[in-house]
Amino acid sequence: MADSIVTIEKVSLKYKKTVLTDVTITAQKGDVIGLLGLNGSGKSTLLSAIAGLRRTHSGTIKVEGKAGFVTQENALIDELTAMDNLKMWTPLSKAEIMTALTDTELSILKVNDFIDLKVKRMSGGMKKRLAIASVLLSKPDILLLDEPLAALDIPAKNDIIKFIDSFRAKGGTVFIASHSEEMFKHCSKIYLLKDGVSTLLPAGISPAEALG
Amino acid sequence: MIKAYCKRVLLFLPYVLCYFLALSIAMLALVMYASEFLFENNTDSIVSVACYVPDDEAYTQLGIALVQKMDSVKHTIDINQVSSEKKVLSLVEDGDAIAGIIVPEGFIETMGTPDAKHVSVIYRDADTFEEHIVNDLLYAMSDLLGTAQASIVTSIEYAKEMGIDDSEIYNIRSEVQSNNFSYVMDRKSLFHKIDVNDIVAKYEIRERLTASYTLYILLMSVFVISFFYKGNNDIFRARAKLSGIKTWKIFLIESGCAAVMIYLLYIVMFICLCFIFDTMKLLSLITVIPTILIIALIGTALCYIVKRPATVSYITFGAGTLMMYLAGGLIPIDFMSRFFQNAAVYNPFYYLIRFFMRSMFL
Repeated sequence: MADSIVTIEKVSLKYKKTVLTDVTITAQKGDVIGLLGLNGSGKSTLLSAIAGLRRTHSGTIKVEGKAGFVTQENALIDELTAMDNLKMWTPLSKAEIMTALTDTELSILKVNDFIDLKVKRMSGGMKKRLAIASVLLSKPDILLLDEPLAALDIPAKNDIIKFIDSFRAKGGTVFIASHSEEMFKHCSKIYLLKDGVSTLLPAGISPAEALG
Repeated sequence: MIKAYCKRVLLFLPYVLCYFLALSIAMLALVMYASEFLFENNTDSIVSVACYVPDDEAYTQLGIALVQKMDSVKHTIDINQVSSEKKVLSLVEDGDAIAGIIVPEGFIETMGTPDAKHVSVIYRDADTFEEHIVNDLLYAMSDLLGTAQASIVTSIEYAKEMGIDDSEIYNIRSEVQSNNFSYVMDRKSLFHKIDVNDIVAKYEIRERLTASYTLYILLMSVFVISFFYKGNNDIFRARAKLSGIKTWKIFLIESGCAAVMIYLLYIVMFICLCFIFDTMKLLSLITVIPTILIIALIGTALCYIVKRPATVSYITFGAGTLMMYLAGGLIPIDFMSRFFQNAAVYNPFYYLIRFFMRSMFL
């Protein structure tokens, strides 16, 4: 517990129609935590709470370090290019951003391939890659990914999975809310959210079996 | 972030200006409506009066025509001249006219003599509010006709006593008559109206409406540019938090951008208005800035609170229109009932309209 970078203890909260009543999760450095559940089970709401966007009714959420949140929607500005969107959030120069995109693990996302393209002309996969890159430029310790593989083609899925593995290898912690079996294969722990309660999924049980 | 937002504003301009141009045209249409409909066609007259004047009473005809042009009369009384006394009676009986006025033949000639003839005033429903209005009309007409006739009679009697021949007397009569009309026509220029209790009084009603319509369209522009706001988006805020950017900084940047876009709208409208009014002052391009900042701040705050652009539109259009209406911004407050006039002073838009009017027409 002492090494935990994220500690969620007996959290309850309500947001719109989603109700979480008893959620307890711990994550250490290098963990990839999978959140499994049906639609409306509270996966996205829980990620929002970890990012500090939702207040809990009871219980505590302790986050040591910066959390970067990549949602199904994005914080990108459609009229601007990928480079302008990146520059918006960082004091780095254009050259420094290009270096970060090509010489670090961010190169896996291949954002430099469409760096001058306006967001409104990008595909879903490009937007997802750009959103992750934008968050990563602020060097978060924890990455919160909401449906990172949704509506992506196979190469884009592979790139993002590759990137998550690379991020974990460098000591980063990742929380992933997903419906993808493929994604859960890369998780160190999987939590099932059902009826507002979190349950650690025992090894050997597949997500499909867990959901019944 | 500021650079990125400046770039956004530049990229938005063609799109935004198209909308703004459409809004400006809408505003021009409103001003035209106000000019033509409200002030030219007497559609706001509340009392219809039937009036018969014999053909030979040209002087009386002219007097009535002059009275009908008086500000106090043209908005309250519709004088309907008919061809016979019978027609006057039937209009009053049928309720198409609240009162009838019948001027007898030889009315002017016998005025001030023992054989003086009287104007008949016929009411359908005596002792009403309309009766007082008709009485006021009669006072106005009699003052005009009586004063003019008295001066003519005096000048003719004095000329006769001096032994001046008839042709010269006719010239004197014509001269006095002409002078009387010149006075009546120019009487407005003799007075300079100042109402210390009401700063709005110094503005023409058309300017008042133009200012409030302009303000209304500036307010409506908030929903046109509501799609511009990102700071109301939770994800955007989370991203800002990660980068250490405070919410208030995004709020100020977005308010500033909104103000710039609304200001550009004002410039477009200003150019359009210059074709209508010769009273538009270049200085107003500076003096309207505080109002535009207020609108931008309110609009941005609304987008932060409400979040959904569609809801922002409903609120801006629904609540904005209602508030403007109750503040006398859409229909002149003078035309509204006493209750609404009294209630308007508690409406912040009432003061915003006045402030904007002063800054627009200086």
